[in-house]
Amino acid sequence: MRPLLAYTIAIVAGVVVLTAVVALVGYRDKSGETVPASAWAQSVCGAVGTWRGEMEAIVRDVRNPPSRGSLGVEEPQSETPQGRTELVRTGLESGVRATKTLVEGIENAGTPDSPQGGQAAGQVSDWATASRDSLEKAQDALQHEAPTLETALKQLTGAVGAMTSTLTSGVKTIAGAATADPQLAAAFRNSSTCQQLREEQTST
Amino acid sequence: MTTTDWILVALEGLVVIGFIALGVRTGGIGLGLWGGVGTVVLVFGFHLEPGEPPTSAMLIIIAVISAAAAMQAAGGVDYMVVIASRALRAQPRALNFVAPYVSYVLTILTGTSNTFFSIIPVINEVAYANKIRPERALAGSTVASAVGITSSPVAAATATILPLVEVYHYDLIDVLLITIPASIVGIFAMSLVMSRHGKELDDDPEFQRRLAAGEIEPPAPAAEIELQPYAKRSVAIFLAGVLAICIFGFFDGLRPTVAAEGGGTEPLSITPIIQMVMLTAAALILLFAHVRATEVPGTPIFKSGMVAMIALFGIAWMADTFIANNEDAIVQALGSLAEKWPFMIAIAIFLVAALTTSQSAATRTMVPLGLALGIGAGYMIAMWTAVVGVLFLPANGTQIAAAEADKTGTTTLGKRVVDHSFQLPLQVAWIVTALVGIAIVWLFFGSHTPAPAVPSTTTVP
Repeated sequence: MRPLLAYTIAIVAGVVVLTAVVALVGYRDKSGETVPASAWAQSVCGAVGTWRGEMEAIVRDVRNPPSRGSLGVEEPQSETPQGRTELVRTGLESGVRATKTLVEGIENAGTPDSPQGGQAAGQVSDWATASRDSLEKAQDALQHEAPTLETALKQLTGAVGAMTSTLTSGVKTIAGAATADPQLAAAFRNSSTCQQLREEQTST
Repeated sequence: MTTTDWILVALEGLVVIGFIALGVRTGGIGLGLWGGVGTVVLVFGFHLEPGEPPTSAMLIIIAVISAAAAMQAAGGVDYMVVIASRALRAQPRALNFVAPYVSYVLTILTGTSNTFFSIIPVINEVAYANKIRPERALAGSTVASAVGITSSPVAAATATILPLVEVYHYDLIDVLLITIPASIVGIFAMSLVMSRHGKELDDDPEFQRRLAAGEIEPPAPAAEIELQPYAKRSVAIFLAGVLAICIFGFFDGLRPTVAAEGGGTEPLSITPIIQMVMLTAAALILLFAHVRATEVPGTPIFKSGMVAMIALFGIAWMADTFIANNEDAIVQALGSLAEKWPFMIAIAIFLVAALTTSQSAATRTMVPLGLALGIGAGYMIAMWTAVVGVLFLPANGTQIAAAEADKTGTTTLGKRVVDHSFQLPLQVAWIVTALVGIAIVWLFFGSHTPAPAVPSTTTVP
């Protein structure tokens, strides 16, 4: 057998094995299912925590855009006012994508089996949808080229504000859902991901 | 996006691939020149906004090549070849294993593969002097240096993944406990494959052609190399420079502080430090190893380095012009693939890294998606190592520099864009690393990554 063919077969086999292993070990979609409140709280807080981390990474990239053509370099390239606006616009687009991922994560978490479970899941889901809408509006505003520096600054400030308010309202929504349902509150209290989220919030 | 938009993206992608293919066929600076033409087509023909040329990487190449070329002019490269050949006397083929691990460690310490530029000429010369097919050590080391990114506590990609998995109680140590052992095994498997890859140098037709045509000198055995008087001194200065970069890379408290964007101060980034230290090393070599500045541009390392820089300039600029305008579409398409078939997430990470040439972008977009799809955080960390996919297309500085350094013609950028010398080691390394990482998580991180909860009841719609 020619070496090239042998290599190709080996690589394809490796990819198939990897795919099979991933399918075996780690994934389960729970959307449309009722799950224990503890598992639901764990998934929701995990999704929110990841989303929060993603937002931090996006803001960091806006401040210090990574350069391309080299590996692992975190240097900003040449900066122009237009470049800055473009970076913020790209950052907001990433924010919208992150929030869509959050919605996906919450949908996959299922519905908690607590008395107010359906309502809590709905509240969190509404917040995620509203956040996405507000970020998309900020993104639309950035599509129009700013005629003056003052307008450009307003656009940038508005964009950053939209991201910040989304983060704040997310934490509030989860706290509200927990207050309305004692069983869910206990689940949130005991969930390790929610505890981590609270610790992070306290430390910032 | 409409169908027309998708067709446009596909056409633009074809332009990029077409000009890369033209460039690699032309060879040398042709890669950069055709990349420039591709940028013109994208900007004037498709009205895309021009992307960023890879300024940082180009400046690093200039600085590192200046130091390495000064060392070569002082006879330092010959001295390193002699030393390395003596060390490898019993087992010269061990170079195929040692060189990748050295490259890997350099990246871990500095958080960037750019440090690898400094050892490319040495690996190439040692391989050639020992009649080892340079492709084996050079391609393997290039991939290993990229693998090092996900094992480095100071890399930008690591800083990107940490906030994403912190909520699942994975800290930096946990991440490294998964990625480092997995990468070590992955690099070993890759080196094993590469040590048997391709014909022996003496049997390689392209090498023999170049030799017969007088394009290259036959390899000189290390024992026959005549050392110049200040060779040792130049090596000491060069290695001190590399060591200083590693120390500054790993201990950011030693770096000078600069004003941070959000207020306060932060340590100076490692990239300008690499540039400063390497230029200083070059100057000190001129001074203390008694090298005339006019000798440096005439060295083979300087010539091949400058060619690599021009090649990178054009090709990376063209790639960035395409990516900067289409990143959302790429991520959206591959994200949809992963949403539909979550078991494809590792492949999706690899492809996003390949098509955006950014480990950070692949990390930021695909890791959260995988977590949202219900994949355990530990498993996502294991699969995150797939961001090494940035080497899938031959458009990175280290790939271009390694291919350019190898005058035997065994290390190539391919003829059909994806058939370059780095493809085989890349595929072996990422698949094995991801699989071993998954096994590590399964064996040792079970409590961190519990199996998804079993639903108490199933809702009937």
